[in-house]
Amino acid sequence: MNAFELQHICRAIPGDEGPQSLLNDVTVCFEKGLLHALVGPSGGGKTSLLRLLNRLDAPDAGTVSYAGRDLGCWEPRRLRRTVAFVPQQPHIFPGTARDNLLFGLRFHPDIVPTDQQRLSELCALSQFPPDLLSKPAEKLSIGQQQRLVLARALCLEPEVLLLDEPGSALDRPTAEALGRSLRHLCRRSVTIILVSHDLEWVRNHADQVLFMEAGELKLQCPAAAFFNRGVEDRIGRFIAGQKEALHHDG
Amino acid sequence: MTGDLLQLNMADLGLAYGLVLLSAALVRWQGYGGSGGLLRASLRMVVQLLAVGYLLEGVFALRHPLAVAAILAVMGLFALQVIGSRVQDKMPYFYRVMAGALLVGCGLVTWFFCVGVVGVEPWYEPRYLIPLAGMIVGNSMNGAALAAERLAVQIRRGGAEIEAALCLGASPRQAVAPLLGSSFRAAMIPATNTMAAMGIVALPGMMTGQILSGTAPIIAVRYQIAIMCAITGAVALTTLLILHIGYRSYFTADQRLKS
Repeated sequence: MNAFELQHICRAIPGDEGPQSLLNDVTVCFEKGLLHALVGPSGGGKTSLLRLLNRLDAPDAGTVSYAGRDLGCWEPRRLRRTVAFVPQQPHIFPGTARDNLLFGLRFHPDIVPTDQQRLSELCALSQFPPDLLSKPAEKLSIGQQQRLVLARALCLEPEVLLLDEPGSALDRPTAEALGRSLRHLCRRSVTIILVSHDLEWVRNHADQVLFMEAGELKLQCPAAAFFNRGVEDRIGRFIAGQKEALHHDG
Repeated sequence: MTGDLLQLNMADLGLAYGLVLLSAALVRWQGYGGSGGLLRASLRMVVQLLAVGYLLEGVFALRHPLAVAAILAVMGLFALQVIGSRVQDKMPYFYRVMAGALLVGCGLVTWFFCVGVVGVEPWYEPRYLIPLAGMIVGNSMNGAALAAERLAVQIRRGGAEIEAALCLGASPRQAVAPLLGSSFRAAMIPATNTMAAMGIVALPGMMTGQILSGTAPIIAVRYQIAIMCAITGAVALTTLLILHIGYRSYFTADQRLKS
C-alpha cells in the first residue's frame, strides 16, 4: 500500500535568468512502512521534493496524493500533524529542551498530555539524552538540537516522517543508533522519507533508494540493488565517488 | 479670552524666520553643510502652512460636509504616501492593507471622539473635525509605518521559525503570534513614550497652542488628555488591523508561507 503517490510533478522558482527548475516531471510512489532514502548530488531536488509532501511548497504541475486522497483535500494543519517534516537546520523555540519537545502539543489540545514514560520513549526513539531535558535548548549542540527536533515531531505521533539529513551533525555511533530507531518506527507502520548524503548509513538502514539529479528522479530501487551496481554509468560512479570521499574522511 | 491674544503680523513672522536664517548662516560658517536643505525645508514649511491656513479659512467659512470630506481624503492620501515612502520592505497588497486600516482605525476613533466625547454639532464642524482628525491620522501614520516595517522584516527573517511552527500543525496565526506581539509593541512605543513624558519633559503642542490663544490651562489640559486617549486608541486600533490583515498576506490560502 502506498503512502504517497506523485504524478508528473514539476516545480520551478524565479531565478536571475528566468525560471529555475527544481523538479522536472517526477513520478514516484512511497510505500507505507518503509524507509525511503533520497540520494544524489546537491541541488538535485531532494529537499524540494520533501517540502511538497507536507504542503510547505506546492507543485506547479502534477498531483500529489497521500493515503489515496489528493493533498489538496487534506486540511493543511491535519496533514502536517500526520506528515511531520524535520528540516536539516533545526529551529529551536525559546525555553528548555522539554519545552521544545512538547511545543507542538499547544496546537493540538486533543492529544493526550505527554507523561514521563512517553517522554522517555520519545528521547529513546530520537536518541536524545533525557538528562538534557531541563537544559536551555539554545545551549545544546547542533546534533542534540537535531535529535530534539525529531523528538518534537514524534511527540505528535505522525504516520510519516520527512527528514532532511537527520544524521548530518551526528557521530557515526549515534547516527547508527538513530538508524536503528527509525527502523523500529518503520516496524510500527511509520513511513520514513529522508534525504541523506551518507551512503554507508543508507546502505545499513534504507529499504528503498531514490537517486535524484537535476530535478529528475533517475532511479528508484531496493537498497540492495542500488548498491550492487557497477561503475559503468553515472549513478554507479556517484556511489563509487561517495565511497572514496568517505574513505578519505575516515 | 481671545481678546487677550497677541496677534502676530508679517513683521513678527519675519523676525521669527530670522532665527532660521541665523541657524543656516552658523551652519554655513562652520562648514557643516546642509544649510541649503535647512532653508529649503523652512521655506516649504512656510508655504505649506500658509496655504493650509488660507484653505482652512475657506473651509471653515463654507462649513460644508463635502469640503470637510475632501480635506480628510487628501489628509489620508498624504498619510498613505508618507507610509509608503517610509516602509522599504512592503507586505503584499501594502497600500490596500494600509488604506483599509487607516480608514477604519482612524475613522472610527475620530468619529467617536468628535461625536461621543467632544459632542461636536454638526458632526462635520470643520473647526473641530479637521484638526482632531489631523492629529489622530498623523500619529496613526507613524504607528502604521512602524508596524508594517517591523512585521515585514520579522517575517522575512523568521521564515524558519514560522515554518517550524507550521510543521507542528500551527495555524498561520499561531505561527506568527510572537512576531505580531513584538511588532505591536514596537508600533506603540512612540505613543507610549509621548504619554509618559507629557507635561514633564515638554508641554504638548496642542495644549500650548490653546493656552497661547487664551484658553484656561485646565481646559487645555482636559482637551490634551482626551486627545491623547484618542490618539492612543487610534494607533492601537490601526496597528492591530494592519497586523491582523497584514500577516495573512504572507500566507497562501492553503497555509503556506509565500516565498
